Amino acid sequence: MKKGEQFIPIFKKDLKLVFNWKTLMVIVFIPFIMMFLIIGVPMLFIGTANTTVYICSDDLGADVTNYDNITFSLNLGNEAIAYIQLYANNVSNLDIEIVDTRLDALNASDGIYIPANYTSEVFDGSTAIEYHSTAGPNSFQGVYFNEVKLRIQELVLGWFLTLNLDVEFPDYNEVAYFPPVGEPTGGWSQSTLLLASPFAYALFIMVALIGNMGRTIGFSREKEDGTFETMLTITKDRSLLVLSKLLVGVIASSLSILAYFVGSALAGFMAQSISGGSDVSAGLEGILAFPMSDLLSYKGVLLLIGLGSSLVLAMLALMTFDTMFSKTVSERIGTSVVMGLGMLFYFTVAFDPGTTAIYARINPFYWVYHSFLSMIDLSFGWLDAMYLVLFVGLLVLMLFLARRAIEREKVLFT
Amino acid sequence: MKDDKYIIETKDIWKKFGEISIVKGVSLHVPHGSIYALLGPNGAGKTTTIRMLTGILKPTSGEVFVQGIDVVNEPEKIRAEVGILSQLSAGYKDFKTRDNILLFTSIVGVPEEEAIEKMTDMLTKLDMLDKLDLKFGKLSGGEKRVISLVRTIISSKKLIILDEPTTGLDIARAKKVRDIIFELVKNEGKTVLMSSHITSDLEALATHTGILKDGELVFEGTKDEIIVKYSPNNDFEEAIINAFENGTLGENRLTKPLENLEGA
Repeated sequence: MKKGEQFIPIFKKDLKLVFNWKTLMVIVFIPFIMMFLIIGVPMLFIGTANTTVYICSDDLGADVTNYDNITFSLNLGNEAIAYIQLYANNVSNLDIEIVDTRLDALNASDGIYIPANYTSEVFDGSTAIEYHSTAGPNSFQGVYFNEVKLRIQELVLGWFLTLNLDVEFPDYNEVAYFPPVGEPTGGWSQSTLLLASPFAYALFIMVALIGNMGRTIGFSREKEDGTFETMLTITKDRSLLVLSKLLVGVIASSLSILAYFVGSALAGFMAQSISGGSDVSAGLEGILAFPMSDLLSYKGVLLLIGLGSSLVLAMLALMTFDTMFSKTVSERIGTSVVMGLGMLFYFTVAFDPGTTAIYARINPFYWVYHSFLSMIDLSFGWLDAMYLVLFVGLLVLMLFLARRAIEREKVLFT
Repeated sequence: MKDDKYIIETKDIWKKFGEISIVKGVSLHVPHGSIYALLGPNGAGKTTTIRMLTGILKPTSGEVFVQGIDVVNEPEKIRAEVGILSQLSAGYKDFKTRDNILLFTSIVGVPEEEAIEKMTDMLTKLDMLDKLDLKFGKLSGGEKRVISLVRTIISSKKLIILDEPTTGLDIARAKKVRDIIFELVKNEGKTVLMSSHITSDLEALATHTGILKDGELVFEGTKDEIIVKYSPNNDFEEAIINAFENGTLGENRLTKPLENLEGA
C-alpha cells in the first residue's frame, strides 16, 4: 500500500473519533446552549438598560426673516435640546444629559454638539452639528442615538416649513468627531477600527473554544488507549497522522465556533423579539457585531481568512505540543500556551485596538490581527508583511517540530 | 551481514535509556516458518527488543534486519509489513469491535472482503462472533486481547510479532489462540515471534527459543536443546526456569546460532 493511500482510512478514523454523540455534545451543543443562555438572558436586560446621550449647545441664536418679511428670533440649539428632552421623556431607556462644553459632549461615548452659528447658518446648509458615538448602528444605543440626531433634523425641517423661507431645502450637515485623547495609534481608518474590536473578540472566543479541544483532537487519548503505538507501527509516513488530526481539528473547531455564533445570534434575535422595540435592533456580540455591509464585501472575506488562519495556528500549536510532550502533560501545556496567548492578545487590543505595544507584537495572534486589518484598511506595509512572514514561518516551524517529534521514540514514553 | 535463512536477524544490538542499558548486545536469529519464543523474566528487555525489531525504537548500536529490510536505517519500510501485537490490547473504545478490526486492516491495505472473511472465520473459531457489534470498550480484558490478536493476524503478511499474546485469556480461549497461531505457521507458512511467560504456550508452540536475562541473550536454540541443556528431568518448564537463573552470556550462547535448525 502506498503512503498516500493510508491517509483516507486514517482520516476516516479521526473523523469518527471526533464525530460521535459524546464529543459532538461537548464541541457543538454545549457552546450553542451556553451562548444561547449567556447572551440571551442578559440581552433581555440590556434591552431595557438606559442609554445616555450628552448634548451641548453653544448656539447664539439668530433673527430669521421669512418670506412675508416677518422676523423671528430663533435659537434652534435650545429648541433642539427641549425637543429631544420631550422625545426622551416618552421613550423608556433613553436619558439626555446637558453638558457645558463641546468637549464634555464629544468626549462622552454618545455626544452631540451644536455650534454657535447653528441657527444663523443652518438654513443655507453652511453649518453642521458635531457628534461622537461609540455605539454601532445595529445596537440599541446606536439606534437611540440616531433617533436623537433625527430630532434635530425634524426641528430644522419644521422651522423651514413654518418660515417658508426663500432658500433651497437645507442640508442637515453632521460632522463625526474622533476624540484625540486615547485615539488609537494604529493608523487605521475609523471604519477599520470599527471592525477591530469584534474581530479581536471573535478571534479570542475562537482560541478559547479551540484551547479546550486539545484532548478531543490530539494524540493523548490514543496514547492512553494504546492505539498510538499500533498506528506508529503501521503508518508508513507518520506525518499523515499529524495531518489527519490537524484537518479533523480544523473541521471540528469550525463547527464549534459556528455553534457558538449561531447560539449567540439566535439568543440575540430572541431577545430582540421579546423586548419588542420596533425601531430597535438587537445588539449582538462577536462576529455579528460586524456591520453587515462590511461582512458582505472583501473585508468580510479577509476577516474570515484571518479567523481561519488563527484557527490553524491554534490547532497546530496544540498538535505540536501534544506530539512533543508526554501523555498527561501535553494537553495541559498546549492548552495553557494557546489560551494564555489568546487572552494576552485580547486584553492587549481590547482597550486599544490599534496598539503597537511591544508585548502585543510578540504575540502570533496579533500578527494575524494586525496584518489582516491592515489589508482591510488598504494600508498593508512592511511591518504587516513581516508579521505575515513570521506567521507563516511559525506554521512551518510547528509542522516541522510535530513531524520530527512523532518520529522520536520519546513520543511513546515519559 | 543478513542471512536469507532468517526472517529476523539482529547483530549485537544495544539499547540505552540515558546511562542504563536495557538491551545488551543481543543477536537474534529467527528462521523462516518458525515459532520463536522470546523468553525472560520481567524486565529482561523483551518488549524493548521487540520494539527495536518493529522500528518503534532505534537501537543505540547494532544492526536489525527484518524480512531483509534494514530496520535501523529504513524504519519506514518495515511499517505495515509486519503484524504486531503490543503488550497493550489497543483499540478505540467507542468503535464497534468490527470497525476496530477493519480500520487497522484497511490501513495496511488488506481488501475489505478478505478482512471480513478472515475476521468471521477466526472469531467463529474463538466463539466471539457475537462480539462484533459490541463497542470495544465494553469487552472484557481477555476479549480485547483476542480482538487485538485477530486484527494483528489479519494485518500480517509473512511475519507476526506477538508480545504476550495469551495474557489475560482463560484456559479454553488460550488453547484456541494457540491453535490459530499454529495453523498460521503450518498452513500459511508465516513466521511468529512471540514473548510470553506462560509455559503452556511455549511448550505447545515454540520451535525455537531465545532467553533474555538482564538485557543479554543467554540462550538461543531449539526447544529440545534448551531441555537438554537446562533440565536434568527433561522438563520444559524446569529448563526455562533454570535458564532464567543460571544462563550466562558466553557460556550458553551459540557461537554458530541455529545452523542445524532448519525445520526444527
